[in-house]
Parts: sequence; structure tokens; C-alpha cells
Amino acid sequence: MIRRLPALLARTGIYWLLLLLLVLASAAIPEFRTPANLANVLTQSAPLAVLAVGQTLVITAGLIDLSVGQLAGLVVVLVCALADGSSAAAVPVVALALLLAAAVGALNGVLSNRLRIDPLILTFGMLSVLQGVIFVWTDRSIGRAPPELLWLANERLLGVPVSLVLVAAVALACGAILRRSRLGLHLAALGGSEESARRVGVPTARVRLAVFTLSGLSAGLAGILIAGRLGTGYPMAGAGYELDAIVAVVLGGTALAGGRGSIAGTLAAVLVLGIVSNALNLLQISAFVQMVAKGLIVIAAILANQPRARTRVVAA
Amino acid sequence: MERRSFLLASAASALVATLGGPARAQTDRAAQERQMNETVDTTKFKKAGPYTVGVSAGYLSNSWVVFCLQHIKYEASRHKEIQNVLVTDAAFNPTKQVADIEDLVSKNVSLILYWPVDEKAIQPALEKAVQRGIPTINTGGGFTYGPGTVSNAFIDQWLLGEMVAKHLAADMGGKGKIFAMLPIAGTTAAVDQLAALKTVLKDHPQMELLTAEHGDWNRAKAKQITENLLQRYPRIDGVFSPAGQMSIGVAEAFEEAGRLKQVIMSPGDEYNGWLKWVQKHRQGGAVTFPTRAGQEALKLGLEVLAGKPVKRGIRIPSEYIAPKDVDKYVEPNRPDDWWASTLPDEWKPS
Repeated sequence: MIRRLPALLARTGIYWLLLLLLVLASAAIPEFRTPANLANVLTQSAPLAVLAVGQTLVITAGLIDLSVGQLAGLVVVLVCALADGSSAAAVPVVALALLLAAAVGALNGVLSNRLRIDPLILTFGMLSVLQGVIFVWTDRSIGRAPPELLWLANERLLGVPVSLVLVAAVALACGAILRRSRLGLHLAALGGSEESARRVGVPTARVRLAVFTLSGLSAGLAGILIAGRLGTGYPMAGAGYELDAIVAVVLGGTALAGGRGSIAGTLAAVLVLGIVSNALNLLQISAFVQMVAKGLIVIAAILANQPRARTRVVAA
Repeated sequence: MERRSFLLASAASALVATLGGPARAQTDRAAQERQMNETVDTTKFKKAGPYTVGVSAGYLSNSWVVFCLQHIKYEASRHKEIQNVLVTDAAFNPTKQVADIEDLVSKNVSLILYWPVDEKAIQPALEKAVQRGIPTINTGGGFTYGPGTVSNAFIDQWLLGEMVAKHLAADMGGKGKIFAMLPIAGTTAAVDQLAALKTVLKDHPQMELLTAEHGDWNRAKAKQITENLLQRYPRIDGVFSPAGQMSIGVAEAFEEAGRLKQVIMSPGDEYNGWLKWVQKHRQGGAVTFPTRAGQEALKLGLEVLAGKPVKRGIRIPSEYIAPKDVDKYVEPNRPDDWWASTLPDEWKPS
């Protein structure tokens, strides 16, 4: 039992960290523990949560998708420009945006399969393409988000953020894929060893196509939430989200090398990052110190993650 | 298969149809003047001290805003009723600035002063603050009119651009070829300064605007752009550059190309590096972009908290400093990245 303790702590570390932060912040900052502020933290964390859950699937498969931030940004601009505050346009525009996001994800998958380019390079290229498309379109904020998206991203029902429903739906769906579906097994197998996966009959090309498409879709959903948060099509809205998502995934215990992923861990990590940011703000600590704090958390998480990544290759 | 192709084609055509882009509207001067002069009933914001002042900075990695923030803190130190000044920094991320404003509301601050990363993107968050009874004051930058902004202490970029353009035209004798070096594309500063320049040029038909470029308030970028323009245009007689830190980069490029004597620089602003250049070359001068906008914003906010009626916008006037007068403002022993200001020495950034 004692010998297993380090492994147990490492596996559940993110939840202990979350609990510790909740206790410390509640004790040290009276404003932190108010229901309104806790709802704030959840609302602020929702776009990253949706994005990071999608990235969890990608990283479990031993891949990476750097294009998700700019893809979410493209969705923000697209939705606001086309809907321009119209309720009537909300549903068709959101549907179009999600279709586009899934299509861009699928394109990443197709290119990855056909060209055999390292996903890091491929999706970095796609990031640049998407950024370029956004700036060709507009160099300033355009349009307005429909009121329904403002409601979805910002409002509360009985004190609970509405966006939490979307986060829960995405997390449950991705959790089911990862833990209860054949695709989940294939993702873990691909992430463990592509060669071995292929030998046991895993259709690796189809798995890559599926996971990049899902990643694109999750970026689209995150973009919908960001559009609601900002209320306008800001061209740089998605910048940096891809790195935050990767940070959350790794912090949550998913092996960066692939083979093992945890949706619950990712969600806990998103909350840790949200609480750190909120608490440091309430403590009046500068954004630059916040960056340092986030960086240190990431380094610590990767160090904690490393040994297990070398030894374990199983679907969580 | 056909259906899938149709859906993808529909998505692509909808995207292409919108790629034409939105109309590039510029500030409607008459409407802005009317809006600025509106009287705001502030009785619903009236509250007794002690006050906590929240400052939501869109960014702090810029010497102008550092001085502006010092002015806020200095003014706060002069009011016993102000207990604390809380500052958040969004580091150029509007999503973070939205979260920062929500956090300031959670902290139950009495007043929020802000300068935005993107003024439209933070309007919903500001509206929520106003609905919670927390007044919001736009500090510096351009005038903002909307339910999320109770009042503005702003610097009129159009008037500043007009002053700079008029002095440049006078220095050039009303004729010659010029280019404009503007801030980040799409910002109120870039849009209004260019509009003002074009308006002034209508009165000087012998002046020709070769091109308008965006140096993004960046000395190195402005220099690089100018190096390219010097290759492209064999004759450039003048430069419209209201921002001092970009003016230095422009002037350096002309100097290194051996063409500095052929060009007339417009006034820049009271950026210390530019003032040093003006002192050395005795040309150009400055049209101020006063850092005391922060101080005026806090004074305005205190009037709102006292329930006194205020104007929707107060203009912090820019002033012209002629090259011969620049000695009174330049601080030779301070770095280039420094601003001439009315701050007492002990309140200047360390």
C-alpha cells in the first residue's frame, strides 16, 4: 500500500491540487468563496474546457493540434460577422460555423494521412493559414454575437453558468468516446505505438481523421463560447488558446507522448488554471507574474507526468 | 457524397461572400461631438467612501500607459476617501480583460477605470459592471459611446492628427510628397489620424500622400518600413508621424540612407526619445498625448461617485511644443522610453 502511494498521488495529483487551491483561496480571499465569484471562475473557464477536452483526445492518440486556437478565432469572426446580432441567424450561422470547424479538422486529418507530415508542423502551418484568413477578412472587430450566444456564454440559471451545460455535454461525450468506445481504444493504441496498433488491425488513418475532426468540432464549440464572451468578432480572439489547452491536458495527467488520457483530469486542470488566474487577480498580482505562475505549474506538471509516460501505455 | 459536397460548397461560398470585408467607417465627428456633450445623470452611482478604484488595463507593457497609471495612483494619493487602487493587466488579451472586469466586480470595487485591448470586445463585461452600479470610465485612447461606458477622459485622435498635419503642411510650405506612419491598423488612433490628415490635405492640393503605413507604435518596425519606402520612392519630402517612438525609427532610416536633410518630419509626441531628437535637430516639435489622462479620468470618476452630473466625454487637450521650446520638456538623463509629464518626481516610474 505504502509502495503504491506515490503512484496513487501522481495519478490523483491534479484533484489534490484543485482541492488545495480551493481551500487556500477560500481561506485567504473572502471574495473568492462567494457564489457569484465561483460562478465567474466556471464561466471564464468554459471555452478553454471545451477546447482542452477535444485536445485530450488528440494527445491521447499521440498527436497534437496547434490550429485549434486560430480555428476558434475564425469561428468567432465568422459567427459575429454573419449573424451581426440577429437572433434569427443564430442557429444557421452556428451550424455553418461548426461545419466549417469540423471540415478544417478533417482537412488536418486528411493532410496528416496523405502527406505524412509531423502533426506539430502540419497544424502549426494550419494555424498560420487560419490566422492569415482571419486578417485577410478583417483587421478589426466586426459584427455582433447573437443574444442567444451572449446568454449561453455569460448567464446563469439558479446561480449555475449556462455554459456549464455545454461543457458537461462535450466532456461526457468525449469521456464516453475515450472510455467506452472502440475509437477510444484505438486512440490509446495509436498513442502507445502506431506500429503496434497497425499490426493488430487498428485503422490508423481513419482514427487520425476522426480525432482531428473531433478536435476541429471542439474548437468550433469553444469559438461559439468565446464569441458569446466577447460579443464581437475580434480577429485575435483565439490567439494563445492552443497552448493553454495543451497545458491543461498535460496538467490533467494525459501523457504528452500519447497512450493515456483523462477527460476528468483535463477538466480539473482547467479549473486549476482558472482559479489561479482568478485568485491572483483578486490578490492584485500582475499578469506577468501570473504567466510565471502558470509556467511553473506546467513545468511541475510535466515533470510529474514524465516517468509514467515512459512506463504506462493504457487507456484510462 | 453529393450532399457532403453541397454542404462544403455552401460553407465555402458563405465564407467567400463575406471576405469582401466590412465598411471601414471612420469617426462621425458631428455625432461624436453631440455624444460627448451629453450630460450623464450619475445619481444611481452615488456612494459614500471609502472607495476602492479598479483599473482594468488592456496592457501595461507600454511606457505611455505606465505613466498614465502613475497619474492615477498619484491622484488617488491625494484623496483620503480612496482606500485602494486595484490594477489588473490583460496583456493584450480581450478574453482575459473580460475576466479581469468580472473579477473587479467580484471584488466589489467602487469604480472601474479602463483602457481596452479592443473596445467592442469588453462592452458586455462593462455593461454588467454598470448594471451592478459600478461606474466605468474610459481612460485615454478614443471616445467610446455605449451603455458599458459611463464617461470618457479621452485624447481626441482626430484633433491631434489635424494639429500634426497642419504643422507639417506649414513646415513644408504646403507642397511636396509625404507618407504617413500610423499606429496599429484598425485602432481609433490609426483611423482618426489618417482621416484628419486627408482632411487637411484637401486644403493643400500641392501636397501628395504617397502611402499610409502602420508601424504599430514600434520603433524598429517603423524603421524597417521606412527603409523599404526609401527604396521605392526616390523623392520623399515629408513624413506625417504623430507618435514619437515611431518618428525616431523613421528619422533613423532617413539618416542612414543619407536623406535626412531632404525630409521634413512632422511633430511627434512628448516621448522622451523623440524630444531628444527634436532638441538635436531643431525640427519637428511635438503635439502632446498627455499621460495625465489617467489623473483626469480618476477626477471624473470621483465626480460620478459623488453623484454629480458629468459630460459623456471630456477631452484632454493636446498642445503643440515648438522645436525651440523643447528644452523645457526633454529629460536628457532619462531613457528614450520615457514621457514628459506633470508628475511629481517621486511619482515618476522608477
